[in-house]
Amino acid sequence: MMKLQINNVSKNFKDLVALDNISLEFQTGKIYALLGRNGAGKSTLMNIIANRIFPTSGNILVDGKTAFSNDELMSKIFLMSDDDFFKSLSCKKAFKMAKHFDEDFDLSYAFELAKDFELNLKTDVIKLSTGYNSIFKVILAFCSSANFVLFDEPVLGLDASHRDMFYKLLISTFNDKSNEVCYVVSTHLIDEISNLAQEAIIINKGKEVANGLVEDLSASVNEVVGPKALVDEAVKDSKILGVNKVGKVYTVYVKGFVNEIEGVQLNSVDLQRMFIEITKG
Amino acid sequence: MNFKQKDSPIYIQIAKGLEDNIFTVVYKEGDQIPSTTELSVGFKLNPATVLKGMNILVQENIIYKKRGVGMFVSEGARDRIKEKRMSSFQNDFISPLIQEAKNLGFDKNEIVELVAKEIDDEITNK
Repeated sequence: MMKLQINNVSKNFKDLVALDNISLEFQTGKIYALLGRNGAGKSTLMNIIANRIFPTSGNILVDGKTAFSNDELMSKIFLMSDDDFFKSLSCKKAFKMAKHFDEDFDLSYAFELAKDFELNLKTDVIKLSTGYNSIFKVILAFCSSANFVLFDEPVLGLDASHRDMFYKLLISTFNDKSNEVCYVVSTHLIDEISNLAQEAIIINKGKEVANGLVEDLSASVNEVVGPKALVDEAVKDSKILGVNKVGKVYTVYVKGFVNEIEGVQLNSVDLQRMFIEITKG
Repeated sequence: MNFKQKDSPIYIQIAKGLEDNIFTVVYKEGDQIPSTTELSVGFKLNPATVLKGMNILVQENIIYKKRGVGMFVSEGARDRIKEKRMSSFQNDFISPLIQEAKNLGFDKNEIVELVAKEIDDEITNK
């Protein structure tokens, strides 16, 4: 098992604090969901992990050793990124170029996946549609020999069928590489990733706000439903996150403890609802 | 099988789903059940979650592991599932039925009559 540690990482862009003292640990043999609203700092964090940008403070360790400016360790990390190195090349040449950079890049698997996704290998990378651009980058990520593979919005622009293919591929490639690989998936489609990831990290405005097993995170928020007076009584000792009123029925989202009261329904929530409630405002 | 986070933890739903398949003899005693890999890809679930669900059934001796081969349905699994379900039948089915019947204002005789009628209809239809 290999470990990737993010130690007290902060990043400032002039006056803006993009990341505020983030500490995390990723292990091979696990799939993580990295969640956050637009501008929360997900991409900044991934770019720092992959050594594309420098943190203002803090460091990244692979198996306890500083990864910055260590090519051997940096080759264990792959970021599926926004900027294309391969713009002017055809997809086929781009895959061959990837093999040039990473000698253990699985070229035959890349061609096989291109066929499965019906990606035209002759098309120039720059001319790909948003969806096929994502597919191209996802294939690069799956065929990389890195142990820590970071997916930054892998399903951006993908239709439902291609997303379904991606998720199955994520699990089957993960299974094939057994405990050798760690996948970190940053996405806005929380419902679609919540059964695939074992653990989730939620960052909000540059700060880590939740981190743990998906089932524990969703269990940390409860939904309380009923007439206002009864609901108020039930949640009087709870930390209220959000209130929704439809007619005379109140729905209140709370963190943790709720008083049990007859006539009030206590429901569990899924990860997406938990996310919405704890990243409000 | 369709897995929704809201209902109950996914690993419990996996255990329940496999148990249903064994109870309805989709998988007979002695049969090999699908591997963690096959279930995780097929249902798009994290393999660790699938394993956690399977381990519940291993603990209840409904399935067992053959090292290097896979998971198999234990001898007597169906009887054990039946026994477990019989002991929770009252809680899972009878209590909610009585509760709803009381809300609707049915008395004891009416409830017994309705249940008896349903049983008779079931028999005539067969």
